[in-house]
Amino acid sequence: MDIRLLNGTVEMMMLEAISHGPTYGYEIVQTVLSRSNGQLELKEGSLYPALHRLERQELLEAYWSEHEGRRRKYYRITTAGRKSLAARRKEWQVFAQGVNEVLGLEMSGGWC
Amino acid sequence: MADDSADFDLLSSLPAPHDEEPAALRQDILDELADHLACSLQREQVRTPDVRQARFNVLQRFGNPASIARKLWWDAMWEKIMTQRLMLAACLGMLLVSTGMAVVMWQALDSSRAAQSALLERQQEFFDAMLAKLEPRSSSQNAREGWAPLDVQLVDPSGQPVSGLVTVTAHKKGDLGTLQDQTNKQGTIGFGMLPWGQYDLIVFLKSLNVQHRHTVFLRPGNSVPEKIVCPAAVPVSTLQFDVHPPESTRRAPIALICEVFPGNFQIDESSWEVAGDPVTRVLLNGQGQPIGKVASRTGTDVNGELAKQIEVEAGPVQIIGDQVAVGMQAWRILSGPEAKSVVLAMNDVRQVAPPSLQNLKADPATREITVALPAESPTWSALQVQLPIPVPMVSPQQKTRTHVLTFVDEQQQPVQGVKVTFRGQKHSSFLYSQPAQTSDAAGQVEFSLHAEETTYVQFILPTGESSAFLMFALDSPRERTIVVPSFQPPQQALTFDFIVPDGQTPSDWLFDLEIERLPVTVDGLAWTAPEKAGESETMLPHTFRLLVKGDGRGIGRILGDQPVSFSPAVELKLQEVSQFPDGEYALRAMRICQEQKDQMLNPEGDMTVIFLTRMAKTVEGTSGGRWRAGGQGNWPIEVPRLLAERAWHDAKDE
Repeated sequence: MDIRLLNGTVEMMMLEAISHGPTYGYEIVQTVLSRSNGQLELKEGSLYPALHRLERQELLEAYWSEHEGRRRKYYRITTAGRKSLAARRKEWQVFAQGVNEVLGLEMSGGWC
Repeated sequence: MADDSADFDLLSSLPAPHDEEPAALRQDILDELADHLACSLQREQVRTPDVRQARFNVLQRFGNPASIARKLWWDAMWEKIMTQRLMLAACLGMLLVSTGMAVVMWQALDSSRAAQSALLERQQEFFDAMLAKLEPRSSSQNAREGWAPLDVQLVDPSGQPVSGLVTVTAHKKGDLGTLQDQTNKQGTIGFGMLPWGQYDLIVFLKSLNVQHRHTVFLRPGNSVPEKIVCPAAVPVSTLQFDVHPPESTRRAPIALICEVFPGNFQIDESSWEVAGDPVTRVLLNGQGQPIGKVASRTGTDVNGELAKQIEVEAGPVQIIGDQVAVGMQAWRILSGPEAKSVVLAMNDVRQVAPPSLQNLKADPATREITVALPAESPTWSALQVQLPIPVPMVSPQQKTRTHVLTFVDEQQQPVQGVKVTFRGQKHSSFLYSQPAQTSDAAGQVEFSLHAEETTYVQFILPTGESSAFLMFALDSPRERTIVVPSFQPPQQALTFDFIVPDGQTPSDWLFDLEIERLPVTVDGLAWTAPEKAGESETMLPHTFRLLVKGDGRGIGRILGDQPVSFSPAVELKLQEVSQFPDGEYALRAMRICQEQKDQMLNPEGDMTVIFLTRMAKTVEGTSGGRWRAGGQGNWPIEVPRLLAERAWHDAKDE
């Protein structure tokens, strides 16, 4: 898939992946890959600037825990983050519907 | 386990240490990226035995770790560095302007002292005339240059006063912090004198659970109260369902959950929204008939499969407002479908609602909102394609795994009575749970977890302190020793130094301080004090209020959460406390108060009750930083300029 199509949706997908419970960077990449049936393979390193940006915007909060002798940074979504995710989902649905209607495609199930 | 990421180059591109760089920033970035690379390399080595090829593949997917570390460092430091540079540029600019003005002034003075003298005389006459005109206004408290009062009045559409909580935040963050207070019986609230500028207001009406966002501009001479018309009642609409799944779907063992998001509603041209998490969920059976509103959702276990148990309230479904956005999902039924309780599979959720169900509006005559989804709607096709939904198989031997934890204190002695709680299932909108367990005399707890589920485990000490969550995954060690902190009886002192602007003396003031005990970290695990502690116990909760005299000496801990008001005086119960547990503390908020001596009940004996009025508003996020109990010297707390000036002003009036 052309990676440019992902522009503007990466943060939304990250918020969605984190909205189900505390998680960390590597697991977020695997979640997006798994839930997109292998279609969306993020450049793994590019994930972290976006995660830190969402944390500075207080859409995410982070804490450290220890795992197998390593420090691991966990992210969890804040109330503001949940509101932002809901708003981005609505925007995306309107956008996707518009594009699909232009292309003459039918909508299929997306978010849950 | 060795750190597999150790030989990745993470450090080479990081800039030299910066003066204002947080101490842990560099290490945090390195630890986070190193953890990712280690996970990625472990997984890659399963697929690619050749170590060099595995490293190459990891870097191909990740990118250049050193440049990413540098970007993270720069993103974190950008604001501070740019602020420093702007400050430097501003100082240089000011210096140049000052120098230029001095030169011009000197030339003007040198060339014509006589002309300047005449000019000054004329200016003096002009200012005298202006002052004479302004004299009546300067006697009022509004005359301070650059300041204006912010008064807010809440009324309903008929003009009657309304009780509400108002939060004020400066549009440009400064030393104001956040001001928050409840309106009085007249529906008004005065936030005192504030610097000119733009402020954001949030009005929250607890009785209706709605809120409104508002912007005000404080300008010179603006002394008219900001009047906000509030709803006396909220409009309510009833949901109707006209949902017809296609015949093939009706035979499937599914239930439908409709998620309803209320929109904003207008009162006197102002927009109001439902506060908190306003989603309403409605359960429909496979035929599309509504069963009722979802009252609760809890995790449960059905034959080793994680599931969600839904409790339903029968009756019409009403929502606040007159417009909604709707989404609909299909879930596989595991048991039921009894009318009030049904168990649904978590992993087979399918989205079926089309975007056309956005922004449904109520019929003005009936106040009904109809959710219509006919059988011929193409949006059912995704569901039909997915049916029958496959049932995940769990083999008996893989169903559970057993862990053994041993709790010891810092002298390696076993600790009995540590409670172990569980939360699990990472990819769900709720958390799976199982009964808590407690460590025995040997300090041990044995428990079983679902084989392939990541579970988060928390420990709670007999004294109430709780740990951060530890993750237990499939590859976690089966036996583990946890070192728990030994919390000593309180024996440290906390004394304060209040720093106020020049010319003000805080000795007559009392400070109502909200203080947080910061977590204690032992063996890499953080432990937090309990949220609540009994009033008669010596144990301090996670956050507590302390009443402190202006000279820095503590009077006692304020029990309960009763707020102090401007007037009349409020009776507060105090608990004498002079010693605090060892550890770090942070200041979260402060109020400046005044003791009403003529009403004090018990001035000589043990101080248990005191009457207080408040002089200055609550300011949160104060600049008191953090402090270790028993540290050298007093805890220096800078009182924000606005708070101090307001208190000083009130004290003078007194």
